[in-house]
Amino acid sequence: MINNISIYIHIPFCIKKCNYCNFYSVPYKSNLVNNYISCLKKEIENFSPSDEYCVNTIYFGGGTPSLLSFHHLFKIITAIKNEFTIAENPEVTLEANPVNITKTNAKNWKICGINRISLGAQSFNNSELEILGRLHSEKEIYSAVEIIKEYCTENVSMDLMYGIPFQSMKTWTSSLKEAIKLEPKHISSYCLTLEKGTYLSDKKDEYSFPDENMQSKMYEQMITVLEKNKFYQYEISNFSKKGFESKHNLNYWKGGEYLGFGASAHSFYKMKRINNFSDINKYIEELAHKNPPIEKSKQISHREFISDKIVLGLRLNKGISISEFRNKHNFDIEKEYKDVLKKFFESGYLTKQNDKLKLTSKALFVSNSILSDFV
Amino acid sequence: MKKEHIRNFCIIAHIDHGKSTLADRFLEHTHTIEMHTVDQILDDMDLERERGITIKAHAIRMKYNYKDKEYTFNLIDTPGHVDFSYEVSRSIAACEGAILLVDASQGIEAQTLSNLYMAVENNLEIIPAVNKIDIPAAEPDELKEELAELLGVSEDEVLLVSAKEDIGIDKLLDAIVEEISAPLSKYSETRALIFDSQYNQYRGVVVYIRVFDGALHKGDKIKFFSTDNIFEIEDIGHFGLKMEPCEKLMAGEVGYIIAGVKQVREAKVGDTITLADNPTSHPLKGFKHPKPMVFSGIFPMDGANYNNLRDALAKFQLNDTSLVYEPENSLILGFGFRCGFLGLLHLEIFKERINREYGISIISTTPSVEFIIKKKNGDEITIDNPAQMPEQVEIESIKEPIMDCEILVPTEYIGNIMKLAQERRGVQKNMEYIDKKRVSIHYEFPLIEILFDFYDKLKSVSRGYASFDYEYREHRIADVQKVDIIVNGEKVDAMSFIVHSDKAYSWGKSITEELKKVIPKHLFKIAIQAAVGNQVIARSTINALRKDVTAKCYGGDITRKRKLLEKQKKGKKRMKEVGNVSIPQEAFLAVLKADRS
Ligand SMILES: Nc1nc2c(ncn2[C@@H]2O[C@H](COP(=O)(O)OP(=O)(O)O)[C@@H](O)[C@H]2O)c(=O)[nH]1
Ligand code: SF4
Ligand SMILES: [Mg+2]
Repeated sequence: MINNISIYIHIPFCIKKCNYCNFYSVPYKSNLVNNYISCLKKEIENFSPSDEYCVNTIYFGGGTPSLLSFHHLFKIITAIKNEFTIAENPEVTLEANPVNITKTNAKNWKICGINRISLGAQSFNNSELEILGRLHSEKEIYSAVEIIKEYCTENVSMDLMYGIPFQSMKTWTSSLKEAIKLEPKHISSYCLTLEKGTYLSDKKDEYSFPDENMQSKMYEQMITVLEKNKFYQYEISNFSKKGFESKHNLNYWKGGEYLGFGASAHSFYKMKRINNFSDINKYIEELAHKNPPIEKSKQISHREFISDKIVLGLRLNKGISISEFRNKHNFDIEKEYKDVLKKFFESGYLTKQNDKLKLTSKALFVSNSILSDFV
Repeated sequence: MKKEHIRNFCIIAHIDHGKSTLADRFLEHTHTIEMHTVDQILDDMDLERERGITIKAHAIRMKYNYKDKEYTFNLIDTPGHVDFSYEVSRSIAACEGAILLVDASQGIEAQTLSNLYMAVENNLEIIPAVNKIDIPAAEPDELKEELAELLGVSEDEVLLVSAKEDIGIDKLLDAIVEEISAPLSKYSETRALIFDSQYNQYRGVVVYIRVFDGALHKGDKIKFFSTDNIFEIEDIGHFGLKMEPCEKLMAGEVGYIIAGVKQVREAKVGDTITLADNPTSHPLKGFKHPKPMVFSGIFPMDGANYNNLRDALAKFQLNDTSLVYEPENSLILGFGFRCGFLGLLHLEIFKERINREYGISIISTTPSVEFIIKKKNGDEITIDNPAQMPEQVEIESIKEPIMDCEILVPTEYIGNIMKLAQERRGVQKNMEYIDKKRVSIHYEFPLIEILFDFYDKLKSVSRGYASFDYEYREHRIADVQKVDIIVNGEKVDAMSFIVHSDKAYSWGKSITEELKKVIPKHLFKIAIQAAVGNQVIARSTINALRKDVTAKCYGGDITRKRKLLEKQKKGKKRMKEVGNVSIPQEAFLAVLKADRS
């Protein structure tokens, strides 16, 4: 039997730290990048899938993968191709920063097989972009999308952010509308959360943030505006044109297996949750000593797998299939979560339509309160 | 052992003023332990090292040579908390003298004063000593003057020592011989004072005694005066570094007996021990039955721990004279126990120990005092739980406990104290100048008014200088009523309280506000109300949760998301369900902490 699997490649370099970001990333230095790429290659080559696995999706995330040169990207893609069986039409995504979009880059990405670009647009309002500490302006987003579409791929996804200091319903709505005008195939939205240790959280007293109430209104507004323009919500924070859902992310939400390579990358493989060292030097060192760069590896129980799958699956608008859990995983959701289901059916946060269990629309923005009863 | 060569004394000192260090020097100078072993000995006993060797021992005997004669010193320790002022008074009553030890860099603290007055009341000889004179910043001269004035002695009589640097210790030891009188006895019948008792797993209760008259021998049949219970002395001895058995304890001596006593409550601090076949008819003065004044429901956080809690209470009671308990049942909290305590601090210590030593997480309900209710049908009932309050229409009158309180305070804070007392329904009885700078104000306070945040308030309005002591006086008719706390329409029985009618609103208000802060937002709006009968007197609202979402699972980091949800779920588990509202453990504490002015 052929098992589908996704591959994630982490590129932990950024030119400058954004004001809200607490991901692990380091400044771009060519020595370090060279070193890192060889290590990535090694890590991929050292990995030998023991079964028949077929790679359906590849995702370059970061950090800022669009900083990579052609040569680096090609090296990694080649390594993957050499080690794995690749599906007929794999989805290959690259996260890109608008400032890195040039004709040359776009062409090169196409040559490497990139067929989906996830663009970190965030906002179409320059002062908001500045508050976020992004390096691009509104203008650069327009030209970036044009170039990508002409030289790389029509399959563009855009990240947009709300809950930004001083953002109003008006500026948020206009960001949404500008994004729609550019005709991407997919939009991901994120509500700004203040993470400890970030610039914005240190300076939070100097900014006025939209409150929870406002954030929830912005969320609703987004759903309305996007649906009107035929972007269908298929997950709590994700919208797409028909047939352009992110296959890579769908695999996470459906509880599928994936392999992560690179510093701080995560894998779920043969019922193990594995995470690599996030410190890039530690990562490099381990590989230099021919060790797997793994910080932690944990075999999860069937029960934990089930609850992860429920919690992730309920994020999808389609919800989860009760019969699938019963037939494939020998787990009777309706029996095991009888009280929880009853509580949330009654309060109107969950519904059951035929075989599908889903969050209702009013549940989406408070979903953790519901999902936490399933862990 | 001749009585003339015995000196029984204690050290009165504020925390950290050097009591333990001084005790260690005494042990060395009297060769009770050799100098170089001190550290090692103390190292073996971590807790004692932290708290000072005398705390655990509670008494220690030393030999001291003075002018070619050997003297026996018994150093008796005193506990240091308001709730235990009775216990302190009994330790003091076991002595003929006290060293008043004051840190040169800190000066006299309020707490020290109230113990000092207790010692003076008991006719103890006071030896004033200034400690830590080695500290360069210390101002011993000023303090010397102050102490001399306070005690009405000449400045020369105030000793200067450094317990740490071993300065002036011999002089202090000499003063103990010279200043403190030898024990005297009045009667021929045997009388001994119990100043402490501790439960020992292997030997039962060890009773700490000071013999005043007559003698006690191994094998004697003894009687505890307050209970008439008779026991036989199985073992008797002195306190060295360990318990040192002997044949008898004579008048004036300090030591222990073991007599088959099973629970500390059978050997009550302050009680008189006499001989069963030749009993005294003059018990030692000052004995009080420990009377619990504060009552609270104690419930296991997890109902499955009920039996463990029951066992823990039984064990706890072995070594705590004053704890009383009986089963209680709450609609909200399930099965638990109604427990009585000496005061709020006693309750706090209890909760802390149950949690730490027995590993049981508990919820305590709003503390209450004992009310005496006269019903219209003529019945009189005593209640310590608001839940037992009869319907308003059945009540003729309610009496609440009134306390006699003594507040010692520097004169500049008198105004603040009076204001505070007025807020707390205090009635001033009199005011006396202790010296030029200090007054003692006598008040009567309803116990419910000084139960909650009074001590902290007192400290804050007097910059920490006021000290405070109280004693039960009587029950007195008062206009009090029961206030219920209602969360989304459900009465939280564990939060009900009884309060003076004039304060029902302000207490209700501050409690509903406090609850608003600690009950987390829910998916729906929550109304919190305080009500007297059917009438709502205060309310607050917790808005519905609007946002609780994880935007994205970055790069497949599902573990992180899972942890977040697990934490959330655990949080829910630690809460009590009241209707559809989850109330966290802290909420029950918050009720305690709410402002009561
Ligand atoms: N400088 C100095 N420090 C002292 C002296 N006596 C005690 N200390 C210190 O004061 C602190 C409290 O002493 P301790 O005996 O535990 O005080 P207790 O709380 O009264 O028992 C300790 O750190 C001692 O080392 C002294 O004479 N001089
Ligand atoms: S580009 Fe992305 S990863 Fe880098 S700092 Fe900004 S938000 Fe963080
Ligand atoms: Mg000490």
